[in-house]
Amino acid sequence: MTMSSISSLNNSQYIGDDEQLAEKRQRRQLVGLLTPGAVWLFAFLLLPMFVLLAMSFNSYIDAQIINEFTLENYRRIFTEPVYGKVVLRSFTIAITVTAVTLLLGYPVAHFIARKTSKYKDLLFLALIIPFWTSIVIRTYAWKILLGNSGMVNYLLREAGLIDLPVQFLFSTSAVVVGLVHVFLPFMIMPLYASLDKLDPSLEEAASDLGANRIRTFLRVTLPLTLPGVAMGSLLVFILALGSFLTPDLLGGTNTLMISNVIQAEFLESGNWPFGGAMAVSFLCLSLVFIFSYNRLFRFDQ
Amino acid sequence: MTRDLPQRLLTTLVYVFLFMPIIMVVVMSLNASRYSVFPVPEWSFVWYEKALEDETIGAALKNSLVIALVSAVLATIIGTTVSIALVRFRFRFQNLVRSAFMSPLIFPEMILAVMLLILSASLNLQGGFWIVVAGHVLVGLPFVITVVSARLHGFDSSLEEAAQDLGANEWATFRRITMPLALPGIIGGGLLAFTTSFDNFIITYLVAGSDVVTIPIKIYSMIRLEFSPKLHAFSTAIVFMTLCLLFLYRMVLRRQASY
Repeated sequence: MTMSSISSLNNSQYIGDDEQLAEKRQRRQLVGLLTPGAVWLFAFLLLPMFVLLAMSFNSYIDAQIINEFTLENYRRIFTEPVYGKVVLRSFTIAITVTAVTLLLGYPVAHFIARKTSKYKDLLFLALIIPFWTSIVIRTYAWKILLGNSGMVNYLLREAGLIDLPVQFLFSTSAVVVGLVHVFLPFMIMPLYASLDKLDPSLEEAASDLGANRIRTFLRVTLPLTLPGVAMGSLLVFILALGSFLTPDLLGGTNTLMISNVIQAEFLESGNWPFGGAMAVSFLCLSLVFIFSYNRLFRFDQ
Repeated sequence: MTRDLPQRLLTTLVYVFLFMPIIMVVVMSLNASRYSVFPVPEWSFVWYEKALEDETIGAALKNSLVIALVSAVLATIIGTTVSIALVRFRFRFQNLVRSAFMSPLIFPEMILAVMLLILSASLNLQGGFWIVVAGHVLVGLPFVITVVSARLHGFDSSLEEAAQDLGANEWATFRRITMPLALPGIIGGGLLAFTTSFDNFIITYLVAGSDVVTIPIKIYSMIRLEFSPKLHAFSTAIVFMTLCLLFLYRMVLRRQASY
């Protein structure tokens, strides 16, 4: 579908018939280059999407998946309050995580971009290390840190703040802490990129003209780095909204998020049509969110 | 300087926050006690010995390496051809094609996983090696395309045109000009695809079935079922391995900068 027309060519020195011949050859080359990728996308993304959609309209009777059209699965999602609650909880957690990573990440990105030249590379590398480290390991590590005999409880006890260990795990706050830890680098990196591109002389000019630090930040730095803020926030929000592992390991039964509920339908209850309907609804929700966010963001620019 | 103190302090605390969990895993791997107690009562290497004796850990490592290698090679080949098409050609719906290849990044991963699970069930595959590889290639592609495209943008296409003017055919041009110049990007993209596959949990967890146990799956089941400190020793080794890969990646990129 995409290779039907080639408007500009790399080799423009051919003329007349030669040009047509070259165009044909280029088109053949392009088709050859895109075919393996297109086949992969079709077989493992587009086709599975239709299979999922078809599954979501199947019936589930007596623990059997029956090939009979129904809208019952969707009716349940939109009428049973428990699912609305899961969606609301997931949004609340994802928004909280986005806000916390933004508030923590901005000063850090600003520090790396502006305040240090000696440690710049080292600090940036240190941001990438958690990104490369297995998320399963990074998440279960919080179980050790926040456990009853873990370091956090030890430090609090030594500081005389508590007598008995505090039960941190299996709560919403443990999930938020774990998610902030996993996604903080995803916020800092785009923020750093937009701060690094911003010419420091603009900030200097503002302060030369008498603006104090807060005014300089609010009127110059922040508005000019909004693309980085928007990018980092979208990334963290979307990733946090879909998280499975952190609520699974650090949360309890009342901190389950959308992905946990979908996973349970597929691997535990075996009601694939219903799980499928949830997956389709979640996918539509994320796509609508991303498109409207992009629209809104382009308006601002 | 003192005006920067709060910011400096916050930055330090954020880095402590980022690294403390990983450091704690390393500390606990050297803890002689069965329980993760802080401060550590007694130090020992016993859990490393126990982890080395555990054959299921070795099997998981082998599975992960094979799957990551096959996925990375496939993702690199497919991603490189797509990148060449996207950077060196102009065609209709080009932006749409680019977005389609980047889209696995914005799909919630659980949804990709259940899509592949249903696909594998309707093909009567019962999970297994190839459907896992299919999923890992899908999520590795965006990384390869990003890195290789950046590299292809980085050198002048007139080098390729000159080779063709001098009579080289497309394959010779690719082999002698494009490939060597793009090589750091191709290797870098391949390493990224390798790590994404090596660390992948959700897709493997849903589609693999019980036969294919990779490292993240093994760690997860150890957390869930046995919670032996062998887990910490094993995880420390894995963190060390991925760090080595990261430094390799940085070295490749540095070579790229020197062109």
